[in-house]
Amino acid sequence: MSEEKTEVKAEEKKEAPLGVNAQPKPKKMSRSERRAADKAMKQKSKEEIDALLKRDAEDGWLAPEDSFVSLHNINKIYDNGFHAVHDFSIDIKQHEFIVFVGPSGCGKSTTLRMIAGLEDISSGTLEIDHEYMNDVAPKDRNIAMVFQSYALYPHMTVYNNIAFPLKIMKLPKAEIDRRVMEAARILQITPYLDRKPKALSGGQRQRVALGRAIVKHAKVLLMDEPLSNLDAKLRVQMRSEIVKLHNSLNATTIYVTHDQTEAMTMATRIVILKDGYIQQIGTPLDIFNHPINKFVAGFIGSPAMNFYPVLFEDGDISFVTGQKIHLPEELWKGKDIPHKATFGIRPEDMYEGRGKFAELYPDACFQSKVILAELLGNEYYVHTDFGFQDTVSKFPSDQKLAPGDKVTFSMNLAHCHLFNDEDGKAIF
Amino acid sequence: MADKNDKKYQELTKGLNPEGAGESKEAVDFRVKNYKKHRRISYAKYGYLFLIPFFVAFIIFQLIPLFQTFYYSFFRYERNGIDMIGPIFKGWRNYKLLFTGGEMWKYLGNTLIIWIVGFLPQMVVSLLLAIWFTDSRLKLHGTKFFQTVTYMPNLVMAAAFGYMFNMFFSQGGPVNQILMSCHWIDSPYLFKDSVWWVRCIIAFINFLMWFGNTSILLMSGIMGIDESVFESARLDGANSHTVFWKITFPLLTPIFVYFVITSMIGGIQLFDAAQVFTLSNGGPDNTSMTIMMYLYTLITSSQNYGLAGALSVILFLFTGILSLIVFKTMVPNNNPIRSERRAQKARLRYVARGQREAREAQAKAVAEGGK
Repeated sequence: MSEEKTEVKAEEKKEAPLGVNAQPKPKKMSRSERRAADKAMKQKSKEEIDALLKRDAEDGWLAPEDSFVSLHNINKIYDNGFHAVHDFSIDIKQHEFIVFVGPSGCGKSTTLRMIAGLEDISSGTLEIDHEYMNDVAPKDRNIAMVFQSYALYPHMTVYNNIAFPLKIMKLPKAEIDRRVMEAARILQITPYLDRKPKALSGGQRQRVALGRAIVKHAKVLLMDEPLSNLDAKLRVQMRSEIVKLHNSLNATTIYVTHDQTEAMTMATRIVILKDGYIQQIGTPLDIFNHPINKFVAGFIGSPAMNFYPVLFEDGDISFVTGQKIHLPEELWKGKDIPHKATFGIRPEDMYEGRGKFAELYPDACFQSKVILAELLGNEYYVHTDFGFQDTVSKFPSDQKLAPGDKVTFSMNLAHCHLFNDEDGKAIF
Repeated sequence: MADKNDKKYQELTKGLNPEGAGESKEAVDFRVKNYKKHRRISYAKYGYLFLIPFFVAFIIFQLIPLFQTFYYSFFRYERNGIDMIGPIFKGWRNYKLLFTGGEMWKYLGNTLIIWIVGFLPQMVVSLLLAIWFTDSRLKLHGTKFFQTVTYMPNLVMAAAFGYMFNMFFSQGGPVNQILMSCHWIDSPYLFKDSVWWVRCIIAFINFLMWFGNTSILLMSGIMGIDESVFESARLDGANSHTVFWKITFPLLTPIFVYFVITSMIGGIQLFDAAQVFTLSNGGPDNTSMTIMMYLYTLITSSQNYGLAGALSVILFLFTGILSLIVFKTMVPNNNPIRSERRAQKARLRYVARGQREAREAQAKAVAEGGK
């Protein structure tokens, strides 16, 4: 009897939750189970790759005439079965500045490295200047790359760092010198040519890395988060310099970043990625004004778009707080809109006081309490608790705001968005 | 109650407790009483305390014997028959004896030969292994296993290896038996009577013991280099050969210098493997007697402490000088101003050569055009 009791107690102890929100601990796998799981995953990835390759073979795809760098259904599946990039397709025209942007681990760097040849392409087709490049060695792809860590050769002087690719190309010495001096002049690093990289600041190292990339006169310039190691001020400065350089060289650039500001300011076209899938491809303005889904809408724009769970009925949306807005008819008429949806509006489209938008959309004018007011000099980022959500709006800084103040704001409903809750896709 | 004559008490009460004004006497007493509690504690002394055992051992077992060695190297201090002669001060006599007699040079030569024969393959194999194990493109499986296996000989005593190889290569040993059963030889080959076989086997023992260690050392050096540097070089068009000579090797220099110096010191101190393999006789005609074996003989058989001391001093200086030479020749000068100037000169020379070549090419083209 006592034995039974102790057993029951032990079981209770085992299963007793640690806290209110405690999750049941996942069962620890034994080594053999782990191996079996790994093996199954690898086999699956192998089968998956075979299926994708079969699809590629039957595809018969041809890159468009005006395309310079073409990626068609590119997939990356690692040996451990992790599928990092799914069916990545884009046609990049000559002289374009394409930015791959997305959160960490979205596959943007992997895609860039596949273009560079530093990672194998599991399936799909890569063409550069209408040449099939999947199996071509990195050195034969005629590309140049700038790395996040600059990847300068620490034992060489700046001159030799920049001249290294040219020396390997076995160009005449006079030509090497001419190209290096020209790059140094453009990037303003002539005084540092005889220094080693460790004697340079972050910004100067970045310029050297850029110099090494541009002297090659490569067909495509790849940049993997080149500004992420610089301080904020230098980043802004280098941002514009890279764009100027791109324009002056007439280069075709593919740039990877996690910073949406860089993407918006530099790109001719942006590719937004998440979990290895392309979310949207478009010009910065197009993506900003017409995000395809909730992720893109929240990712692009600073501060991010405000989202509210709402109920839609006949053009009216009602917030959880009971407030109602009647949306302009041109936005929703004729569209299949579910009852439950997410309403999104950018901080830029929320105006202080009862201005012209209050006249246009009188029911989209609310009063709310300030939780936090971040002063940026010419404007405030005002955080309020409208709709029980942390709502950010941009207000001019002509009047002083403090937490606890009441503010009135009106929304420009012409720029609002509604997203389907199920798949996150934009309805308008 | 605090002592009023106490220096600290006076310091704390200075200016604060004049007669009949300022803080009360109790308050000052309280502060003085609590002074000890609140003062800062210095932990530095504990550090020194922990270092004491090392320094005591170092002084007794290393520093004093070191000075004694220096001291006795200037004395005649040896056993002659059953008598102990000395110590009698004789100045540089021991050094003269060593330098003029051929033995030291012969044994030093033996030692260097054995070291080089073992060092060169050790360097090549270790570098190759280090490069293979660290190359991410090769995606080698079981690298950890191979690393462990290559390191394992280092865990075995050199004397054990020496004895094992002595057995292997003895007249009736397994090597001879295998060779005979394969009908490659008719009668047992006397490996231990061959000068070069003995030297090579000792060098091989040294190689076997240390190549794993060296490859792990070099691997750590290669892994310390940013992977993107190699990737960048590959994108710049460099092949594996160029990447090795232009990127990996120059960046590996500090580790490589360390390897060469430690290997050289180890090589000069080579003793146990050779001693056990040759069963203390130094191989045929002492051709595999290393300098350390000679030193050992001087101390144990002839008990010539004066000469042994002088030899130790010479070896100490010899090792020091060799290490300095290796260090100076292999490690680049890190003075930034000087290196920048040197780089500038090199660049100007490079540019001038380029211009000259261009001029010559132009002149040649003009001349050919004229024809």
